[in-house]
Amino acid sequence: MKGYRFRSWHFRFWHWGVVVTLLIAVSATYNLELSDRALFISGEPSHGHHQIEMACSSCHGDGFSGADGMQRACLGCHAEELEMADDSHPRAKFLDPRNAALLGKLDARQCVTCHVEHKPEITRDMGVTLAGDFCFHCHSDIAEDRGSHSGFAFDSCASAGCHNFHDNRNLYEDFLVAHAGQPQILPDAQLPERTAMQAWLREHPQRKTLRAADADIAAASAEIAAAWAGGPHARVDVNCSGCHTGGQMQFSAAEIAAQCGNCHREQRRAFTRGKHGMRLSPKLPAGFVERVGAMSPQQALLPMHESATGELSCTSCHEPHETDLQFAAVEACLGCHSDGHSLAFRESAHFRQWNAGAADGVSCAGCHLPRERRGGRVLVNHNQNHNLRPNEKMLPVCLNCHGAEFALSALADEALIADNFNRAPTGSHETFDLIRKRIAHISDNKKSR
Amino acid sequence: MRIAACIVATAALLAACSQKQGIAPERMADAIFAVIEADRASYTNNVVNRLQNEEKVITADEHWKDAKALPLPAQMMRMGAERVAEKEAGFNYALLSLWAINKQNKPRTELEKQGLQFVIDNPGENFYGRETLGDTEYFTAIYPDVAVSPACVSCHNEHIDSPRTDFELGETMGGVVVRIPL
Repeated sequence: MKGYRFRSWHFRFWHWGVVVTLLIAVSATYNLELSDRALFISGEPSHGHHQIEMACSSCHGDGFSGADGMQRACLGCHAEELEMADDSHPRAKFLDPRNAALLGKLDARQCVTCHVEHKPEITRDMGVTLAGDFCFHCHSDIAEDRGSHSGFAFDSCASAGCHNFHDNRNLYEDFLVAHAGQPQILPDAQLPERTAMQAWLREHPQRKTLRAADADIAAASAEIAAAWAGGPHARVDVNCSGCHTGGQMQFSAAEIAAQCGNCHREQRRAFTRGKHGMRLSPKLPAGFVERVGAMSPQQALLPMHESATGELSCTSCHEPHETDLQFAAVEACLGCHSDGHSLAFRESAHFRQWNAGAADGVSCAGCHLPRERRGGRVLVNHNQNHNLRPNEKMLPVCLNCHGAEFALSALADEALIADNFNRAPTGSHETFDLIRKRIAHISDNKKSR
Repeated sequence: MRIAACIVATAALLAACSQKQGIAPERMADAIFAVIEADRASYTNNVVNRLQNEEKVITADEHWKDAKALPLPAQMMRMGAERVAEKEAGFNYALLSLWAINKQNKPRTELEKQGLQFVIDNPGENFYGRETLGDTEYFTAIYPDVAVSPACVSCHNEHIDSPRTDFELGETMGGVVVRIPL
């Protein structure tokens, strides 16, 4: 017994093995549970997911959920958008056994076939990690059906104004035929009027407009009370206590989004889908935002002014008492964003018209928080990333004021976008050259019949 | 010897009893097609042809969302086929034609080509076969898709991309392919 005790003090090779293994396990566990998880991240995530990089389980589940679990995670956030985009390559299409041979070339049933995360060295626009000529795998014979396409390079299919893998709502042939020959600027150029306030007032005729003296928090300063009384909340009978529930005066970003979302549900839903608010999404693991905080301008991948700080929430753009929509539409954006496109905005015709108060003026929000018609209503989509990629998604906004060829030519011109459309696009768009030939072909065909 | 014979006979009987008396794939495919065909003909005649061609109150349009119109009968059927595919219901179906307007709906496998030609050449008859796609063997049935209303004929004859413009009412324009994995 004594001999055994004596010998145990001498480390043997396997003792060292145990110690080293334990040290690795402890440091890995520490890194995973209490530190920045750097050991577990194989590469920088794409611009679409970097805000939620630390919410590993939102994509990876418990780490053992496999390909199906990952696919469910993708669709958990993106399914609605794909359906809204009238996805041209839905998963269901590839479940037909007759497409089995195509799946051997490109498994279009899984998002990760084309969108691999943590691979910055091969990630291209829209998070695509395939080579740019991927259309070739299935459509190599396109020139047989469309002679006009013979000679086109397969990495040019998805050029702005031609085709997209998912969203072709504004690019299909009949749409372009219907919009061919429009003038550069339409005669009745202007964005649709918002309807939310009018609709609410119509539906609630009995609700009175509150005045400064009606403020139900006695401690409110005269300045704040006056701002509130002149704003939309007082107009729709929402008193101080409507937001300052239980007298709460300090709110975290998550609390602000939750409080505003009590009434502005649709706006909150859209806001938490965009890069500004996605850390506040209810789809992320519980406790995530408390751990990492809401998004702040300095964490963005785009250039921001050094002075831009704080956590992003509804009140970053909408001062809660005054809710100045003019401020929210331009100054709020330019207070943070300092990339070339943003800095060039004040030199554009869009801004000049907007600044002059003209009906056809366009603010940052006019394009990036689009006014969408839903039935008889016009709602502002508060997901500012909704219509950015692919950029033809912006077309419904442009078409309020511009002809389709003018708008598509502008969206296809990267230098013009960088300069924030401070000049008219040059020339026509090749898509419309094809469309004009197609219209002539249809017309000849009808005559011959 | 007798004992051994009894054991063998009992084992054979038990084995036979344990086999499930399932529905033959041909019968199942016929039943599925009956439902597809009934829904398709009802939608084409009682919705599209009535509202678009007779009462002229709403059109049917390929881009039915933008045009605020009715989906075309072929699109209506494909929507159903995609929903069934997503449910992984144990079978798939598709609407194909040798003269498809969208070239993606032309026959792709050898059996599809053979079957579509068969239902055109033999009016009133169906085509049955087996094929291996990917690593799965399928029982594949192909049924004639007949022009049941003037809407079918007029749209296909007038469409700019239609490879054939002389269809007539009652003619086989394509085929419904039902596949059951074996």
